[in-house]
Amino acid sequence: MSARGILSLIEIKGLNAKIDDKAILNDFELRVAPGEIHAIMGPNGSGKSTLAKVIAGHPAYPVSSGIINFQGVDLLSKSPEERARAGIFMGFQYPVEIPGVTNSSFLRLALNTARSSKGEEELDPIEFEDYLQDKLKMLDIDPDFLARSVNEGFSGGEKKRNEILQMAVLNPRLSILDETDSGLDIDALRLVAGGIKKLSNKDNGIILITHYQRLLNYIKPDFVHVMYKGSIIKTGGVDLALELEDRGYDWIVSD
Amino acid sequence: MNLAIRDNFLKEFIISPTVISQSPDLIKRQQRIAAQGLSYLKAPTVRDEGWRFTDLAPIYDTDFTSPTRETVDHRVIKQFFLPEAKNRLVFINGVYSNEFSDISGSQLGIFVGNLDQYPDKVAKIVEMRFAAGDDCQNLFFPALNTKMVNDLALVVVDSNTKVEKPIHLLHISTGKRNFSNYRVLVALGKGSSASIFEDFVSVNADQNLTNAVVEIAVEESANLNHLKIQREDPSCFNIAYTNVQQERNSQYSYCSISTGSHVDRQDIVVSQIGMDAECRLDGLTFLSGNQTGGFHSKIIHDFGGGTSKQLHKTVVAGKARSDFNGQIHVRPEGHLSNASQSNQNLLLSNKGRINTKPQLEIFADDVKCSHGATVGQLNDEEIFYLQSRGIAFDDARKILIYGFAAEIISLIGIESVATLIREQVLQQTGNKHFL
Ligand SMILES: Nc1ncnc2c1ncn2[C@@H]1O[C@H](COP(=O)(O)OP(=O)(O)OP(=O)(O)O)[C@@H](O)[C@H]1O
Ligand SMILES: [Mg+2]
Repeated sequence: MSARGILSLIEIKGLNAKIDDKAILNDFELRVAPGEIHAIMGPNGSGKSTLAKVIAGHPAYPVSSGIINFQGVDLLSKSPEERARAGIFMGFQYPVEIPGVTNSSFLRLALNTARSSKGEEELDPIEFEDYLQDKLKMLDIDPDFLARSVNEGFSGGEKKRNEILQMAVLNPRLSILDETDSGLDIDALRLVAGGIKKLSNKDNGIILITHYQRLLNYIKPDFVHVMYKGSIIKTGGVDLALELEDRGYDWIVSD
Repeated sequence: MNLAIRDNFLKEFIISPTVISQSPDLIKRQQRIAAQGLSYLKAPTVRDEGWRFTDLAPIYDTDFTSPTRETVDHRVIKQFFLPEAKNRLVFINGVYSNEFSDISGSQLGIFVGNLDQYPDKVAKIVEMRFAAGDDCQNLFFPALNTKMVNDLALVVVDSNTKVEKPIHLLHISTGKRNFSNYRVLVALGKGSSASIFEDFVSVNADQNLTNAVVEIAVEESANLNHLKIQREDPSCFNIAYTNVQQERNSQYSYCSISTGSHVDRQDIVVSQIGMDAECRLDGLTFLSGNQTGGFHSKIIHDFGGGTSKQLHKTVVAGKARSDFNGQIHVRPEGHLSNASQSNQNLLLSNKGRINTKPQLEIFADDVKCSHGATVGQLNDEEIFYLQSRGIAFDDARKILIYGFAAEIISLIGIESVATLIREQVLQQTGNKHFL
């Protein structure tokens, strides 16, 4: 392993994924070091969500070649649940509704699964409620949400807030947040961005997939990448996001 | 199907003349009528309409005997007692158990008991209501039950009496290859309300057949909550027929949950015989292994303004077979009836079979009627979502099965029973961490 490799949280090299013979990830490369925040932007259909799902281990997106090294572990050989327990978290662009399963039992089960896999003691419902309190406050989530079925009947913005609540509960090492800012009103965006910022620290990494520079006003990324046709075609700082806001993607894509 | 086997089935019971002569006078007359019916009725097979997908062959292949008096351990029976209930009738293999029943909660206006002792007004109700419908002579199993029973589980509530606590009707099946007939009669007077909980359990049971008939009358503006759990041993057979007569403005809510027995067949007929009656039929059937489950309902909107709402869910795993048939019948007089029906099935294996059939017979024009049936599998995106939060694939599946059932479980009005079913479902789906 190279010196760089030891320092990185995740290192993705030569990643290729196809669906029905259509290449969606094309020799994709990315490296995130602990403490870094990366933004990935790019036109619709460029493969951003696919990248997130491949990292999380979605079975519908088989990887044909490439490696994903996460904290020295070969991620691609792991099941989605093993990846999650190792510290990978994906915030869904379209969070899934789970009828009949209450948000609180779901969150508690997720946390307790993570805890017991680390040899920590599980939290009972009362301890869990305590554990949740400040996280609910941080995201201004009404405790009534906990008694409702996971995401069922939640508004678009509520679903996104619920994703960040899960992130806060699980405290992952690497979060890939797929358009968590889409569909949020101005106040919710501020709350969610504030939450993500609070959850960011020197040991974890965050990949923000977004279409809007606005989110980056609240969270300053270390890198801004442009993804196109399954690979990163340009990397810069926050200025790049501002420039994209101004000029769109044509000037990069047609280069 | 070997028809000779079917024809010999229970023959000794069908032709036996002794049964009736031993039974109380109060019910003899109806029993003789049923016996006449039985002389030409044949036990149904998959060739008969209504039974095509409920194969009773495993029943016909079993050699049953008349139940002998069985003793069951106190401690075992007590674990079935319901903390919320005030009155309890216990029948063991169709026979009333004085020892385990508790009718001390009977209050003014309520009679809970059997045919050992009853006031005159209850006698009148039994004379009027026992086997009053044609089905008890025209349908094989109800007719057989009518002929064979010599006792009744009785719940009679006077007009305008509100029974606060649920009444527990516990039926225990025990012993080997016993054929038991069990009969319940519930009558709610005008403006009264009550809640009954029918519970079918097994204790050391092997290949027993329980043939149950429940007759219910809900008079004008009365309100009955009816919960039924069938959780017998997987070697047993349970056949149940329920008939509900709903008078004007009455409310009847039924929630039926079946997890047990090798063959489970339920037929329920709800007749709304007065205007503006409301009914709800909810159900949950869990089938796995080589279980067969049939749920056939018929709701008759006889007069105007009646409503019915039905949601039946079935989970099919292994090589199990499920057969749902939901009939809704609106007579020409049934103006402004409003009926909705939904049957949702979750198929967990490719060897399982699901048959579902809505049957709407609408003879009035200004009615609202909707129905829908779905057969689905577990959703891959939902499984992945749970996995992405660290929940193992198998657990994710179990949670989703639980989630499918939860909507019905939440309708169980008695908390200890809801907890019991929740635990049982989770145990079946095997996730101790959940909830
Ligand atoms: N399950 C699938 N089956 C077929 N094609 C798919 C599937 N999933 C993704 N694709 C295709 O792969 C390409 C990349 O999709 P992806 O969702 O990763 O894009 P994206 O960059 O996230 O887009 P957006 O900005 O609109 O969210 C698209 O052309 C999409 O149609
Ligand atoms: Mg996307």
